Amino acid sequence: MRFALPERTRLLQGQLVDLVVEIRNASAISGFKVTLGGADITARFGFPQPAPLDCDGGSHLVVRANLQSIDSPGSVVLQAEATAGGARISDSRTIEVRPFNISARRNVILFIGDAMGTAYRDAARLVAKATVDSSGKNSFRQGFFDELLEMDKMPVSGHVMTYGSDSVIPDSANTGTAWASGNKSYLNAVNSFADGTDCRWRFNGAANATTLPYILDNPRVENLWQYLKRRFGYRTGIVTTADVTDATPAVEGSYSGYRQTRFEIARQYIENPLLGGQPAFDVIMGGGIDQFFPAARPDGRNLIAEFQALGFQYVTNATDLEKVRPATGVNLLGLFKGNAKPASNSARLAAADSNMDVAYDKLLLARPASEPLPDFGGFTDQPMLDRMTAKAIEFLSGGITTPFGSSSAPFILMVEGASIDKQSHPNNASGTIWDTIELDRAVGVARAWAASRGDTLIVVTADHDQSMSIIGVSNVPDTEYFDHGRKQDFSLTSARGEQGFTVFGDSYANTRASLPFINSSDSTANRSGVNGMPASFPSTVTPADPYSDTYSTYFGTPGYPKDTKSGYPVNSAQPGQMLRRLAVGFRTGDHTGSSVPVTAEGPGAFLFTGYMDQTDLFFKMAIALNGNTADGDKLINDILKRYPATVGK
Amino acid sequence: MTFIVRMGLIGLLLWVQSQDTSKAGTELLAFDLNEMPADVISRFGRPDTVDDSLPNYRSWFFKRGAQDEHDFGYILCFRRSDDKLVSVTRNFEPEVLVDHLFPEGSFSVRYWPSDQNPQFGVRIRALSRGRLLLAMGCDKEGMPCGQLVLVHSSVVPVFFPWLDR
Repeated sequence: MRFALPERTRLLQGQLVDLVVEIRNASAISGFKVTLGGADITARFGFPQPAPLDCDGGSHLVVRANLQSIDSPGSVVLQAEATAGGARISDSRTIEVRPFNISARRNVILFIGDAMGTAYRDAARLVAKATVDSSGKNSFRQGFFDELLEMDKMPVSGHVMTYGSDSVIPDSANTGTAWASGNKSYLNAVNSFADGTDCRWRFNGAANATTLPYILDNPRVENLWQYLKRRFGYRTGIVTTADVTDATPAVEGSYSGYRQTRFEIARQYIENPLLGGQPAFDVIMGGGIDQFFPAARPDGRNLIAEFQALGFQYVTNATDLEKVRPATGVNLLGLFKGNAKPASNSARLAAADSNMDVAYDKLLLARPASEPLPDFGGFTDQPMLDRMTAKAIEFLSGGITTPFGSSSAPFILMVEGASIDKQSHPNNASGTIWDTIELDRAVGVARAWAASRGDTLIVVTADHDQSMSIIGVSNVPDTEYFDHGRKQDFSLTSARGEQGFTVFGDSYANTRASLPFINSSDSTANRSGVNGMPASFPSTVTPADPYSDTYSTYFGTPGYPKDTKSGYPVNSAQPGQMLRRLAVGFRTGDHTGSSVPVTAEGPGAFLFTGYMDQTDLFFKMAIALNGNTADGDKLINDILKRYPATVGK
Repeated sequence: MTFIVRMGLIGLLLWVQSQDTSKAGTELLAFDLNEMPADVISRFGRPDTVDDSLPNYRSWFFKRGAQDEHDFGYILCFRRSDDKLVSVTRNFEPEVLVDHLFPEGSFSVRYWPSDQNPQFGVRIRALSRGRLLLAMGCDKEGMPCGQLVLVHSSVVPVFFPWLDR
């Protein structure tokens, strides 16, 4: 007998969780009894049901009590016992229950840079905040920036350990489960714990329509978005540049053993099982039209029309997004990218991903040689993340007018820069860096909105790290950097088979996965000496060139110009010049097990200091909402006033 | 022939092979489903991830580059009692044609939940030594396929009970 709960289950007071008892090698039991803190809760459980646990062909039983909660804080012992085959069997878990009550009206805005480890934030800073103005002056000089990133300016920072329950290297689903529900789980899990029937799909990869019941029977644990909406009437939102049913947005509004059950995740957005069948969110924005569309869905439902029938305004492009305004009873569904492709044949669980295009492409910047050309697929008017964030805040905050006046319901919003990760998988340096910059501008929107309010906690972090590192600078001529025909394929044959790789013309600035640094430039000046890689930061200040003591103006190769209209850096040189770009390398095309930074601002921000586990983010956000943070908030303010500020903050 | 030209030709050959999906999944046929972990390591290298949380089976997961963002390219499942390989799952993202693995007359088709109410179909080809090759969800010729499973018939009742009925 065992509870399908982690050894270290942690819950908030009143947080819902499925209690599932698995009884192996038994076709019948008697004397089944469950106690919680000594109180008999057996009556909450259903009848024992046969279940194919462990795929061993044996007789096993499962007894469930769905959506239970514990109302008394403290360490509570959950104990189950029964008689099977003449023997008394039992199991227990000690569950840590944290107190929770709302004592102040506070909002939370959580920014997730998907895979935004330390190097990604550093790269965004070194590109976005080392730009050259019209006089040639670089905003990064002698190791200091005139201005740091928005996320750098937040007063509190810490580090987050991201390990999953089954892997040092996690994915976006089980890391999202950690910060959204306060509990760890396995790869691909969305607010769900492992159970004995996972063998039907997880151990042989056969996750499809035939195994869906075994994917959705995993014990569920309530996330903070549903918890706050169900218990305290919070308004809830998700904004992402991914398909809105991708793992990071999914953990705020759904429950599934497998992240790729996109049709089911979309269904739970509109009829959430923990909210009595009501919608999970008041604001949804991102890509992923197909998961909601009858032509793709096996059940033929038009979830977009169903959302509209519930009072959601529906927009599909940036122009219309700017026009919509919140009004009584109106919520917002913005889906800005689709594929119009049917569900995959082999799973029938999801339509193909339709993530929004990345910032680099939305800005119409030229792609370097090794990065694919954009394919907007007819969706040419997609909003930038900062505009989506602004609109989400407008809809979720006081813009709502009710018969009783302006709505006073607080809100919790998650904003994701998704393609930091999605561009890092194929090692697209420009794609990933510009998406990090896009996320930072969205952080700026939230900081500006919250600055004078004092009631909004802003947290910026990542779900997991990725493999990019900063290896120096490079000055590849644009003629080589953007030439998509300039590449060379190589192969390595060994006992393990053949491995192939391609070196592109821009590799001097964007070293590919698993390769040592390769100088592919034809320009003799790039190949050796002080001009060579890595990381020449020469000091050559002269009266004629007072700003040349930065990497980006060295030997007449200026840094990134800034586009005056968009405010973003530009990745191509002015005529007659050669841009000095940040050079990055990718050890792999995958996630890593390194910890990720977290920065915070607003009431309760001081909680986000030091090294912490990812599940702590959930409890720290909850404590910040409790409102008992005055002493800590005052301490942070005193430190900010009394001690030297970092240059650029 | 200069080195550059030679490498260019090799690169071209690799590119042509990478564009040729007519052989997708043929490597599965080389598995006997009798292999031990050491045999797999010598052929595939070490797995990226191992799941040994089940009492009766152990799964090895292999990634194949950036394409494997969502699912692992290969999932190999061993039976703990004798440490022998019992199934190999190959995921394709995007989906590919696998008709070359299912020549006419070599396979049967089964539907879930029933032939009368077909919601999910599988092409099944019986191979030697008790092996079955399954094209998951791709019951018809010309349907792109995202998953092939090579499985020993002895574990079909526990992994795919609806196929055993």
